[in-house]
Amino acid sequence: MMPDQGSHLARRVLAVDLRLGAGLAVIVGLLIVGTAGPLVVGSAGLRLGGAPYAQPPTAAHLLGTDTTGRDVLTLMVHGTIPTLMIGLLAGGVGTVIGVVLGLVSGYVRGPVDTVIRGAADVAVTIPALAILVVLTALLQTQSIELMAVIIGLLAWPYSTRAIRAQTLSLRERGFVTIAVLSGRNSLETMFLEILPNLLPYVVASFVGAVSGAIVAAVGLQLLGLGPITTPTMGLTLQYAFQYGAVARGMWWWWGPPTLFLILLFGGLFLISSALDRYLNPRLRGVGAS
Amino acid sequence: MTDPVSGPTGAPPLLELDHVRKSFSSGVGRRESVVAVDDVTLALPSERPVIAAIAGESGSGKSTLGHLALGLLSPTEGRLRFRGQTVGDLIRTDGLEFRRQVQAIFQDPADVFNPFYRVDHVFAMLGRFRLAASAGEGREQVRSALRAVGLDPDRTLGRYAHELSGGQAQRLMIARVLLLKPRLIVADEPVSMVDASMRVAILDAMVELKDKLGVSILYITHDLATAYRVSDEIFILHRGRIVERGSTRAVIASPVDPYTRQLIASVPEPDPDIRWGGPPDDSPNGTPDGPGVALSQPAAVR
Amino acid sequence: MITELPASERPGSVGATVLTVEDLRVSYERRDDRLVAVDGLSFGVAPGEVLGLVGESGSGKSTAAMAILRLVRPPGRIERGRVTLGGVDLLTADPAALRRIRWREVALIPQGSMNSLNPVMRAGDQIADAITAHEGRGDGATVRQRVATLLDSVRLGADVAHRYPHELSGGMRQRVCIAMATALDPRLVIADEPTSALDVVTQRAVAETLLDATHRLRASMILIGHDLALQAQMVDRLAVMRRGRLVEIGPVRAVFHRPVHPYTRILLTAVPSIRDPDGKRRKAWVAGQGDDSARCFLGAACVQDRATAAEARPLMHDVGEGHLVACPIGEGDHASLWTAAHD
Repeated sequence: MMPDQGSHLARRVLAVDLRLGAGLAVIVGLLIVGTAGPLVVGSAGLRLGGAPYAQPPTAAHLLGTDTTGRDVLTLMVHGTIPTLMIGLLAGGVGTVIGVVLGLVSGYVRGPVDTVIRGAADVAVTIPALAILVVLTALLQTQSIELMAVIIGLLAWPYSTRAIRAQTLSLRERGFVTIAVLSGRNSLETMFLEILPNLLPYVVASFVGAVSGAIVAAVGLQLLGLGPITTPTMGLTLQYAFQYGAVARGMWWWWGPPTLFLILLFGGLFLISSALDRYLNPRLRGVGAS
Repeated sequence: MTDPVSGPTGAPPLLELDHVRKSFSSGVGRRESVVAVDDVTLALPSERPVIAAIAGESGSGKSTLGHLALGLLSPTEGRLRFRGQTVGDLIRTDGLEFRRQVQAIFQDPADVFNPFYRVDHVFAMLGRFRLAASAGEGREQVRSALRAVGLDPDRTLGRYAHELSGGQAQRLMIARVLLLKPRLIVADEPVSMVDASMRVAILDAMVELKDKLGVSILYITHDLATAYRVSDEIFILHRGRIVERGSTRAVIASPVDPYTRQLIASVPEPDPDIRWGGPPDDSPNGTPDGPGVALSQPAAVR
Repeated sequence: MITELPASERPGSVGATVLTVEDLRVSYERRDDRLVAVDGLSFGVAPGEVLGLVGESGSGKSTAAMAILRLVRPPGRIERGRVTLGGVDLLTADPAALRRIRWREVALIPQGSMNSLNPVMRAGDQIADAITAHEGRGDGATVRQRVATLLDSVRLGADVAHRYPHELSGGMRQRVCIAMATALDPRLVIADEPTSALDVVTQRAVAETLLDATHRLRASMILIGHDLALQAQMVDRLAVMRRGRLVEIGPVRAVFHRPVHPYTRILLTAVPSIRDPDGKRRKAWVAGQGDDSARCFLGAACVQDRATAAEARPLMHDVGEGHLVACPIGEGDHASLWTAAHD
């Protein structure tokens, strides 16, 4: 049986689980860097030719400059939010679609369930990256948001399957019957009775979707696809590789974005593994009731 | 044997099952099917409140019968009527009123609460029934219903379900039912998961519901002793069929059907001087469901 | 006379006990507090007797069973106590001795065991497993023969050995568990709610099989449950537990017909009966036991100083012929229990 939810939940979990706390700290830290950073460093460093080319880190340019004279630190700081945003937006779109479909499919059953489940099972086998490559090549948009939405649209099957499974199990519970006997219709029952109990799974789904979306976005950008007007981490990495940063030993150019991504994925992993522990009571070491 | 609970002509029966059959299909292409309720016909009168027990073992179909009466399932064959109208139609045309008139108390008092909300949620959901003119009046109604079942509103409201004991939770659900004042309650094993010391209080509360509010109760149980204590009429269910029916005292005092007799003989008496009576079970593999046992066939009773 | 041990341990009693439990205390560490599940439990089991251990949820009866076999896992902890079987203290025995004793001297049929059978192993193989695990690999044919004999002793056909658990009914699965428990001729069988998930008809069959199997082995049994009616049918002596403590213990007729402790009386009057639906018979047992709430219900049997009683561990008072009752003064709700029992 799920323990009580609500604000007590957040406080208790944070206090008790170091992993969740650490993961959240990393993500929040990155968010702070991304929000406050641009104000601190300004956008002068983004101009092409604004500084000596390909310089290693100095006092003036803490992370050096790239081959077009842009300050790497400025690039990093300005690229943080867009990178995170792609993940959050795509993850959000994918999770919302996935949760709604999974909830409806699991609760209503019947032909609707057969269709949605079939679609999800098929969609999962299609390599999303291949579709994304084709779509972004065709659309050639410069909008980060649009790219994020497209990625999100392809992320739904995973959430759908997970949420559907949980819904199937929850709908057999007595409180769902009581809701029906209290005059609740299907929509109210799904969203007001079942969904609140799915929140941990929704969050876990979301974290997974965010990770997957960032992988997809970085992947697309490394292939040279996607918007080039915003200095996301993927784009910076792509330029770095394209202009031979590795061969030229310009570690200050390809290093920081890589480190950023490692930190980001690490934080997301900590959060999702902490959630795993929370969702699976047997791993929690709870005392006898 | 005529059905003693079908009333005289006039008002239609409160609840009427007419050759109801419910089967569940499973397997690929829906080929295998399990018959949970097999040709059941019974009726509860509407002119006087009655507690009718549906007594059967697990697998007898009694819970399915309860779900059918609540309109949560529809019969595969036959008709189910509440006050003369088909339950299916009632739900479609005036679902809210049907829900108000037919309520339930379930077996597991912990399972009927949504763990995300406090127990007040169960009362909040009743808002659509417009039982009170204002929020204040509604709150007062809830408090007095809780007091009527022996609960202290200040120590019950605002809590989560896991903070209440089984007996308290079950009484809270009775308070909920009290607010709606239904005509019929389906009570599916309401005391089997409650501690022994609380059972009597809950059973007495059910009898009070009948006596003071005129509510009829369909009491579904496997425990013949509690059925005897609270019910006026009894239907013995075995493998989806009613094998014996009649006034509870009469049926338990002088059972006719072999299955009923075996059932009664197997009920342990809380008295060390009265040990299990009746013929012991000599069937192969020691179960009444073993192959070739005469007792497992339903007797030819309607 | 005040005693902490049951009648069977007192001088002059017939024979020694098979099992003696002394001052057993088990607690669970939870996040915020420590829950004492078993609090100073003491009793003995005589050879060949069936002792019933009855209590509601939270009484500690199942924990006590696990503790006797030292099967309590963290966050549970056996804080103190002695469990003596055949001269060996199970709580301090070394692992090798414990292994020898478990299953061969004491067998456990845990709660829900019929649903814990290995779903991918045939029933006969699981029984054989129980035998070879504790006796070492034997000759295959001999083990198979023993399995067949065991199945017969629990009134199951030999064909059951080849079936998988899901092919057997609940009652049959439970008998397989009984066969496993009795496989090595233990001196004591502990059965925890052996029939609670079964139909009333199957329950009687399985209960009678269990008694039969135990009597055939001349073993003793501790039958743990919450159903007083079932206990009345099966046990020789009855022990009533509440919140980790023993409140009353004695010959089953004495406890049923002359219950002393208010909690026992509440339990007894709460059990419905089809042969005594208004509880008239039981009310007669409960009445006439003294209704002066100003004094302790123990009346003349109480020789304890009230002041010291409050700190004492549950001291048992002898009300005659092996019938012992706990002094409830140490329990905070003494007064309300009393009122409830006499309403």
